[in-house]
Amino acid sequence: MMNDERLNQWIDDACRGDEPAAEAIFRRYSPAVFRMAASLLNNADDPEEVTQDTFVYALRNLSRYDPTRSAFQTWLFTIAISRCRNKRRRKWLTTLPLGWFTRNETRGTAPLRSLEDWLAARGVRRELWAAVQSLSPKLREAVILRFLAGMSYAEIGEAADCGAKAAESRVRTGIAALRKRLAEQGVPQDEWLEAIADM
Amino acid sequence: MDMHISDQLLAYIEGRLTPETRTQVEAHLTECADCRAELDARRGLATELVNARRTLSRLPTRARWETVRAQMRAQTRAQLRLPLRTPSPLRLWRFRFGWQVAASMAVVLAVLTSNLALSGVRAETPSVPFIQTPAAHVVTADTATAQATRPLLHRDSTFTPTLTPGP
Repeated sequence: MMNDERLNQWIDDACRGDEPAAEAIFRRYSPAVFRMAASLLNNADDPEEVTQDTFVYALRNLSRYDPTRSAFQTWLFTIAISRCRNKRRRKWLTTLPLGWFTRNETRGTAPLRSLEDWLAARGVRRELWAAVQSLSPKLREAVILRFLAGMSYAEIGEAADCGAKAAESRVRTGIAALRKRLAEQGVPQDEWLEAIADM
Repeated sequence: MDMHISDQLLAYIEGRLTPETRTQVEAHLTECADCRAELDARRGLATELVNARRTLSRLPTRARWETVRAQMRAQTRAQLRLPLRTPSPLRLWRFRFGWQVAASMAVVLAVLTSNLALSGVRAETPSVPFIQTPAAHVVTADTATAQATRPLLHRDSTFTPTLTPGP
């Protein structure tokens, strides 16, 4: 956790229009915002735009940040989550017709594939990532914020605007759904039949 | 499987249960093989997700400070130009102030009109002597009677003999 005094100094300076302080805030927090946006959006292009938009808004509205209400990163995540939701909604609206009319379209277009490939190349199971992305929006958001962004339930409740109890409930339901989804996939049926035939 | 225990499994894995509940869950786990299997599966899933987080932490960010700075500067410039795009006085009158402006204008107009009417009489009075003839200074019984029958504000040079300087 970053030194609060240093962060407060950066915020004070940036509020007074000090550009190096604003840049320091960006350099410190943008990787976390970018990674969270990449997980939520599941593609390699939009997180860049969402992160930049988040910081343009946050740095211009720094005086609205209330340190007694939430941690600075949670405040940034709140702004980023709202932008990710809008982005996903727009993307869904624009990509749905293609999905409807293209028979051979598989889940995940080229940009969606790239992040999955990047993670798979580093040992993250494709099935796990696909299962996370197939969860309903609320559950997916809660699971990602909990496990892939490392937020507490109180922070998720604040950032997702649902309260800590609902956040905990969503993560619990999300994990149960993931477990079920992965168990259903499990071993392909033909392999399983071969396995018991050998017994 | 006992659904109540199923609901407690994530909290158990994360160490968020109270000591009493934890004891109850552990007691159930020793008896129920299904719950033990489910616990192992969910624990494995949570571990796998945490590992994925470690991997994701190496994802290079492509968000650029230069873009953020440029957008902020563009917005600041746009804000500075804002006064040039303020609504016209007519729009302000119609949409922002409305009837308050109309009412106050009516009051001001009424006050100005009455003041002008009174000051008009006062202003005109001293000018009268400059068009008067010296003979008109003499107040006769006829003129006094005629003045009494005239309206008070009637404009007449013979009405103000005492205000005019003598010849």
